[in-house]
Amino acid sequence: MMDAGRHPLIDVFTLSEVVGLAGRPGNYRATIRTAPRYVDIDLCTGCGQCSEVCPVAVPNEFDMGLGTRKAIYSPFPQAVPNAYTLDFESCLNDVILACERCRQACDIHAIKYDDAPKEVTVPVGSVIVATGTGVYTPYLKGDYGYGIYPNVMTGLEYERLLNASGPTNGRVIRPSDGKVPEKVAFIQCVGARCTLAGGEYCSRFCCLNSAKCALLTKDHEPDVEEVSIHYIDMRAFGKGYDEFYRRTQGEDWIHYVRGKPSKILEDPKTHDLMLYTEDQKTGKPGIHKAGMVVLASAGLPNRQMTEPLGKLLGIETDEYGFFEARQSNTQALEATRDGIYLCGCSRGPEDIPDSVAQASGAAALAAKYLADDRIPPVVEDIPQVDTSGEPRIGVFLCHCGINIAHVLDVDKLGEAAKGLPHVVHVQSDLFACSDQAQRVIQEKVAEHKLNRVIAAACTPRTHEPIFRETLRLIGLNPYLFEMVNIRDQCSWVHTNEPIEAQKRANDQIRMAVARAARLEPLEKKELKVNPSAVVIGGGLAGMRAATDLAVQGFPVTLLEKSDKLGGRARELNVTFPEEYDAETLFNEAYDRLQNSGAIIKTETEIEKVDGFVGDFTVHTTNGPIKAGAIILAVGSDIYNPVGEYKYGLTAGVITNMELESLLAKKDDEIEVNGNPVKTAAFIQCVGSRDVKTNPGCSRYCCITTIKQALAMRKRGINVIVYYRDMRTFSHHAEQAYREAREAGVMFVRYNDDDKPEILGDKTVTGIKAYTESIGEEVECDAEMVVLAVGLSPYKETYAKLKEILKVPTGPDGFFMERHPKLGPVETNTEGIFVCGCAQGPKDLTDSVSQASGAAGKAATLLAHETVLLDPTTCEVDSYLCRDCGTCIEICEFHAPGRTEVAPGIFAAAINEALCKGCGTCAAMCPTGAIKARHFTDDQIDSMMKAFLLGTNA
Amino acid sequence: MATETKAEFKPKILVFACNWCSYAGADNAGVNRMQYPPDIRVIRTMCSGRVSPGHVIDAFRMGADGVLWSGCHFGDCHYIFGNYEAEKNYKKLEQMLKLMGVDHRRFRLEWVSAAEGNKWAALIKEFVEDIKAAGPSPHKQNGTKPVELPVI
Amino acid sequence: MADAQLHKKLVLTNAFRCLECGKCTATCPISRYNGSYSPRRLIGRMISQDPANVALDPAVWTCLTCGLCNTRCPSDVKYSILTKELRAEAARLQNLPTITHGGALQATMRLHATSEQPQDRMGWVTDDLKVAEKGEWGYFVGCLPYYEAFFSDIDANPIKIAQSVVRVLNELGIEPVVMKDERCCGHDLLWGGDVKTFKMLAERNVKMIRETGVKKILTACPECYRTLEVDYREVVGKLGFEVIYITEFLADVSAQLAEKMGEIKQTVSYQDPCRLGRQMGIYDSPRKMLNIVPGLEFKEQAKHGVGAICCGTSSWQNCDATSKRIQTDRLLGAKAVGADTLVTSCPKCYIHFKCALQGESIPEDQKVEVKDLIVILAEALNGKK
Repeated sequence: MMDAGRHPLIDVFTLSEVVGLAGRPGNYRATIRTAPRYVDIDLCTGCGQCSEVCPVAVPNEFDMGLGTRKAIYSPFPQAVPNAYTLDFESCLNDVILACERCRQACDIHAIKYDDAPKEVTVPVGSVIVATGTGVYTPYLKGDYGYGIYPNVMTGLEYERLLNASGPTNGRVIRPSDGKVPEKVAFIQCVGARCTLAGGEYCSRFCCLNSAKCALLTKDHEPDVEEVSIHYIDMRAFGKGYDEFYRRTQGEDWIHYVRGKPSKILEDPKTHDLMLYTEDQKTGKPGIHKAGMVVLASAGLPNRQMTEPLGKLLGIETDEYGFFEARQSNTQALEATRDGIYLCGCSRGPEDIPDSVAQASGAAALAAKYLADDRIPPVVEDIPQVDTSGEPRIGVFLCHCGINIAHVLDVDKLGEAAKGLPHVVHVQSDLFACSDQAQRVIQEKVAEHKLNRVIAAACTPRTHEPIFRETLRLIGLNPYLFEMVNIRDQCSWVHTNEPIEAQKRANDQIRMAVARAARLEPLEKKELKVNPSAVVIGGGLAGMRAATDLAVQGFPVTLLEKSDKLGGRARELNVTFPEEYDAETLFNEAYDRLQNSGAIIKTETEIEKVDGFVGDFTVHTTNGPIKAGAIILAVGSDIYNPVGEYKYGLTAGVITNMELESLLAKKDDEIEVNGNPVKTAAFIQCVGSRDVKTNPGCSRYCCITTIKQALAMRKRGINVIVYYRDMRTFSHHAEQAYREAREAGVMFVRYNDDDKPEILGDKTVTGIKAYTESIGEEVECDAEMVVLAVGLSPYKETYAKLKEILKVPTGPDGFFMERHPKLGPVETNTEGIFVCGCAQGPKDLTDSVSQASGAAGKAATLLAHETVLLDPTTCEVDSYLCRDCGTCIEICEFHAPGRTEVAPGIFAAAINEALCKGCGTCAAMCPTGAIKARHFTDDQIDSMMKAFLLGTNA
Repeated sequence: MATETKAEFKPKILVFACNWCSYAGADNAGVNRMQYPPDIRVIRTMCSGRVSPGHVIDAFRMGADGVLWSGCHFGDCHYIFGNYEAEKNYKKLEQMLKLMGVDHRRFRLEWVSAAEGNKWAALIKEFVEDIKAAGPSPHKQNGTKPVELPVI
Repeated sequence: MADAQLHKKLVLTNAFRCLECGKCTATCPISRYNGSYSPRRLIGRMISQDPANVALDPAVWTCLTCGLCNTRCPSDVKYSILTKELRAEAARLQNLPTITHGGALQATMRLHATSEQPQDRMGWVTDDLKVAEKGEWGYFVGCLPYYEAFFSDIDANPIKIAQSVVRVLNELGIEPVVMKDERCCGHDLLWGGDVKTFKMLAERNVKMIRETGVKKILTACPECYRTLEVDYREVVGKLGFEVIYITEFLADVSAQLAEKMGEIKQTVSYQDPCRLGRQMGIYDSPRKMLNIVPGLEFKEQAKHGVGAICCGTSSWQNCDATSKRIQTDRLLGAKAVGADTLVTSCPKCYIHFKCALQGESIPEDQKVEVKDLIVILAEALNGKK
């Protein structure tokens, strides 16, 4: 949020709505109406004095009405902008008497009661609709007693309870009596997958959200004895989600209970709740008691908003009120009008990683109409703070709500820090990263002439950039900032040992102070960016990424190892549930690619990559290509089930991919050894969700099975599907699942540890499996067994690319993104992006959307003429260098080279553009000639002394 | 002089963690709220290759009871072979510390990836237990006894 | 307080006698390559202004303390000794040297001073070597086992020096006492300004040697030799045992050894270690020992004996391009007189030269071999067998 709020090229309109859109794609004029805020956004410092004096308290929307706010308020701690806003509806000035307390309290006269709505018309090239989704409100239907029984709440309300800065300061307590419940029950699919109320579709985010909330419950409230999750299918389909699900299953106090309660009744005296459930193991009804019930409510669009907005923008909405995509597989991010794009939950429920990837994708598509109007870089002229004198350190401590403060005594940490050498200012904040706290840091730097700043907060891996930017903006060199991780590596992991945790935090702060005093200002160097890209892999994802970059005018080369483009999509007949012909889809994508101007090189493999962000040289079997960015879209392999389920041994056992080609021959009968198939059985999760093969969900197979099962039914073949959880979460997939059941496809659930058994030796004669839902073994005759195989990493290809590109793979074997939520299409190597199944299994829609996302991120890099190099590289003191050659020998990036410093005298010199700053050469240099900037021996030594000797000299 | 009994012994353990894998793994343990003993103090370096034998020997000289040196798994190093160099240096260190009679339970080189929060938590638990079993370091500087810092 | 002490040091090292003739700078091997370094100016600054200012100058650490200037000075200013004293003050003021090898060696020495843990350093004593726990003769090994571990990657194998010493002594029927928990002599810390830790090491080692009851302790390291013989006395007074350099002892029994030696076909030149030569006055016994080796041809370089040039680095600090140039010139100098091997009698010189042979600075055809004297003697004794 702060990144967007601070970006020089982003204008943020809050309290605003679009009231008109005229013109054509590339040349729209959007009229924006801004409601009065009654507070001058430029003047307000967010000090909160107005809020303190305000006599009105109303339910706080952000806390789902569980807490209160004043009539003049800031919606939540990290709000951007952090200026307060006045809710005139509840303000007393609206009624008979003038209250005016807030205006009198405001020292800078920022409050204007006569503020009026404003309307502006801005020229825009494209529009991105990211309006999100509303949530299903069980209140309207009185589901499960919500709105009647105080201790029944929604998932979002429960999230607020778990939030340290929420209405209960992170305590899980019952609204009825303020006590900690002994048992908490989560009910899944409230308003989702339901034809009675809400939507028929799967809401995608609720399963994992409940699993997360369940796990966090015990962190917040160790007295909670049991958490149960009542579900139909657990849909932990995202990357790493199944691993997380397994972990929560391993906790003996978390129970996953299959089945939904029919109703909930309350004991009016205790307000305890009774869930009327069926024990699926015995088939008998029973009553499950809980002190608190959480309804995982579904995403449901606000039709009152989306439909008028759709009309206004000239784009269509679907039957539920989500915005309709132009084509739900390969053009999922395009609305039904040119120049208007969709991302996130505006087009259907999504989880965070998919939403963020789509957002980058929509940005890439939107750029098509903006490419000619790029704004040249702003030349900043910030006067630099003189940092040459004695260190003057400011220590800023963060409570992080109660994340830190519930274990550590932050004020005492501050007291201890005050006594340390060079520390001239100490203060703490509820959220040190909030806009307001950041502004305070800037003020304090000026006030106390600070030349070093320390934040004791969360991890530098996510928050160091924010603090550094704050300092940069006031001219304090951002490398004079040091961060102490007292949350992720202290309060969160030493929760039960507050005294020792406090000691650790104290020590780590003292170490940081010692280091800070020795930090040196460093300047970033600029490098030219070659505004072209190489896309590796010519499947639909690679084609899409190449197209999206090329239409923006960047020269793109698409490399494909085989002799034709299309990848896995060429093995498909029709997509599902929309039933687009796969060949047509490919041809359309191919046309777009060809029209985009991208260069296509098939039968081309990569041999080596030289260079660095902005200036790569990709050496291929077809010669070298220069590029500023690289997109990795090599797809994934298909799991080979040899040895499982008699595959390869018994005729009639085939994979779903093999079935796909049988189904392609539309007129041929499906037969095994010449005998027509009367009954076919599908087995799900073959090589998926299995710790021995692929630990995660392969995402595509459930819906593919539905598609194939329906196709078989159309041919009069009986179909049985053996599954663990049906994960039909994608667009319209839940409806197709229902359709398959209606069409007579039989679904049999098998247990993870009790896999179906295939009958017959030479040819398949039947299949049997124990199913808990009816409590007995289900055996049926079948002539064919279809294995729904998962997606696996391409072992050899990945190993080779990993080496060439220096991009790591994760525990699941797929390429690792920089961050699952914050950087889903970036890799750890700057300038290299990843998309599609190379990053993890996914279906066509998600692959292609993610490809647009990768293109978007690459375009952000390529649109700049230069890229700034991190200055935390190594340097050689040529006088101290003995020219021994050690550094040259060990550096994989070829950063050190041998230069003649005087006639006949050689020394090593480090090319900063190549140096990645690992500092290994500094550790290996015999004479100490190499200095690893920002991680010098002196700095490391000072930290060791501060810890071990307790000295901060 | 206060006598330290085994039960009260709170070891001083220095940890070097590389930014990309081990430090991230430690963060991961935090995000997942995996609990481990608070006896460690972490110094973040960009790569495990940045750490030199001198740092570790010096840490023992200054009174550390244990030193953990941690980086990425082979093949995962953000800088490709930084961890191999670390291992090379560690082998030298191992020889040096052996000569000095330093108990091998007190120092370790370990690989923990960004995703291995559980491994991190388990490793710290195990290492702290090992060092508690080994007892207070006999290598501490006796002239300038490490300053006992007040409990706050 | 410090100033008064420093003033005393200036008096003791004859600094005030300086006539500003500049012979020191003219002779200094550092100044020859690094024109910005002038011993004369430093002396001048020390006597004309507050000597503490000079203690803050990084140039304090530039001197090799080789003592060449001492021998040339018409006023007998003991510049290298003054430097040693000045460094203690510099270190106190946190003006510290640029230490080499990431400080691993200094850290080891300091740990030696403080650790209560017995070492495990006797692994080099192979079965064929005979050492004792009690006896008249002791051998002070020094840091060789540590160097063996730490310099495993420069093809030096320094532990051979210790093994050769015992082999040669065994040949003479002596089974020297080797202390299982001998600590570093502290030379490098003393010359690196860390007097406090040096004293701890001195006291520890002297106590340990006395406990073994040895009457005579041999060393094969000029630094250990000087430190035990000269600097330890300043700390503990009377030692209670005699310190003898290995070649001095061997020279007396050279005839006995010579008859047991086999031929070695090598042309050698000799590097006089500064501590052994100029500081302790031992020039002849190493040469005598080389001359008894059958087949060995000896070539003297022009700069030898009192006028020998230092090997370029001292005390694992301030090793740099100048050090490398000095070393390169020493190696090329040996080559120039027709030697194929440069022999030294100091493990430090040996390692420094070995290091200088790494990399591309010296063309392959210009490289000479580097050997420790005692290793040659042991090889000659082996050759006969």
